[in-house]
Amino acid sequence: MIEFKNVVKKYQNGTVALDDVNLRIEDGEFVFIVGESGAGKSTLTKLLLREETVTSGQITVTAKTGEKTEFFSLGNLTPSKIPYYRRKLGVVFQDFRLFPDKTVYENIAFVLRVIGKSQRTVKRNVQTLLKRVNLVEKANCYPNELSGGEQQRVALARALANDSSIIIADEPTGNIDPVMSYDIMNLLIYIQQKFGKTVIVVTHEKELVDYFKQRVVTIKHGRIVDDRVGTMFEEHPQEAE
Amino acid sequence: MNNFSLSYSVTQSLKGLWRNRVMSLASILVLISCMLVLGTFYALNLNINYNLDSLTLLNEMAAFVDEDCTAEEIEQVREQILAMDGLVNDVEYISKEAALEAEKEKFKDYPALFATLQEGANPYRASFMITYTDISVIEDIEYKLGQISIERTVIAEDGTTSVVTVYPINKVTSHTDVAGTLENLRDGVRNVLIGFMAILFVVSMFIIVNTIRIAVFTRQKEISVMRYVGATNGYIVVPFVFEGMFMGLIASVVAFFVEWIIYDRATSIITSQYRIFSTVGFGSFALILALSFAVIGLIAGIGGSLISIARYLKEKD
Ligand SMILES: Nc1ncnc2c1ncn2[C@@H]1O[C@H](COP(=O)(O)OP(=O)(O)O)[C@@H](O)[C@H]1O
Ligand SMILES: [Mg+2]
Repeated sequence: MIEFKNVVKKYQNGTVALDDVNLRIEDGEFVFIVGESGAGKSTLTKLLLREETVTSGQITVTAKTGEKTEFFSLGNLTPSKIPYYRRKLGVVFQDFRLFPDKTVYENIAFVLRVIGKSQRTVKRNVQTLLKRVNLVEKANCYPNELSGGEQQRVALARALANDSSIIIADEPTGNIDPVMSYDIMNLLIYIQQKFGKTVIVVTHEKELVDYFKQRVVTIKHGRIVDDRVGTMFEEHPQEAE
Repeated sequence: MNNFSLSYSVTQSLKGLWRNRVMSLASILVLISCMLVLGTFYALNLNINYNLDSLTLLNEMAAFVDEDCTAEEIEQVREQILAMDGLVNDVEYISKEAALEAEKEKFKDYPALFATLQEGANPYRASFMITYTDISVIEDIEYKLGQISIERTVIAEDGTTSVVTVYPINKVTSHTDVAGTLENLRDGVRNVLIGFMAILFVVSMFIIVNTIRIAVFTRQKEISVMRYVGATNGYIVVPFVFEGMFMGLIASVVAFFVEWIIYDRATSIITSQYRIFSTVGFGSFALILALSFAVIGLIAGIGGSLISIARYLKEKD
């Protein structure tokens, strides 16, 4: 479970990116976070990743991996604990952030090595992950030999590699053609349904959101203005195209 | 920091060294020159001390005696010198003839040196070889030697006898001047080289800090992904520390062998040109030299990389 309580984030330059945000996401939920550019969506993911800290308020995360349940209060996380907290999360970015000089296989194996898995575990897990994102035959390709959608699937496999219980995707389809975008979203929903992971997808693509009919949280000027299941909230439906 | 893999860190650090090879090479070269300055200083100091030791080890001075002294008088003088309590350990009288024989023996391979001497001629002088207790008492002894006197009965042409006081010691030579020169040389060498070494050490630290900062910078994207997937600071930092450590170690190994070659060349030239100097073998200080180089290399390398990474980690968290 993820809980934001009266969260305010004010950047050093005075910009208030989040203003009194209250949000609760249950284990195994799928949530779209939507809003215009500059609304504060990325700030919300950065706080959740503990890349930034709140100005006031509280964020707590209860992560369930197998039988183990761990509780994190992000405000009280000591620097040495941060890496272990981050292992509960899997992140996907708009720009993929793959290593161009590593093969698909190595890009995924890298994460497993970082968290100290043995060579044998790495080998086995990478195979499983490649199957999961349907890229087994591209294992030895380099990122620049793949399409955008394929690259994002590698990134998704990497996000799944560390046994994370929460997947956070910030505009995962921003650099991908529309057809492929549905593929990625389908994969994310499959991950939520099949493995019971909590999936948070930040996006501003209305058609995509409307198509999947999931929970949609709308942020505007740093505030949550709507939270519903189904299609995207619109202030002025008649003006929308 | 519990289970990062060693081989990962080593491979990453070697890749890093190669990726920034120009900077790495610069760091290593400056470190090598720093070490060579230290090594040269150490070797020079060692050799000067060694020569000082062998000079003072003899602890001998020569006191030349009046030519006219009789055997009895010589014996009187000898006793007076021996009586200088706490200053003199031993006295040996060397007659003119003994001195000549000794020199002939010493240079027996060069008979030409003595060929010009007329039969019966002897340019050497009778002397006392005095073994003193300590280099600090030389001046004391010199003064007292000047004070030694004997009473000599002289028979004049008219048959009258009179007693005159004779001061039979008229010249003293010791090694103090050579020793003093060597000591001054050693102190001068030490000051110049320590200053020079300190400058080079600071410069090499500075270059290493910047080399590692560039290495961190070029891997920034990779590091940010590592952070997202939960890499510990240790896992991220260790490759850079290794990178600095390798630079230090490579520098110390190269510096050691360069020092070895230079030292062997230099000592063989010096000993062949200036026979009065004896030199210390490289082997006698090789171990301490290797250890000092390794310590300097490790301090500069590890210290330098920690400085640059600490900055970087602070910026992020
Ligand atoms: N590091 C930062 N420093 C200052 N202002 C920032 C920073 N990051 C984002 N902002 C500002 O905060 C607001 C929200 O940004 P962001 O969370 O990136 O929005 P979104 O992802 O919804 O487009 C924007 O006005 C943006 O300019
Ligand atoms: Mg954004």
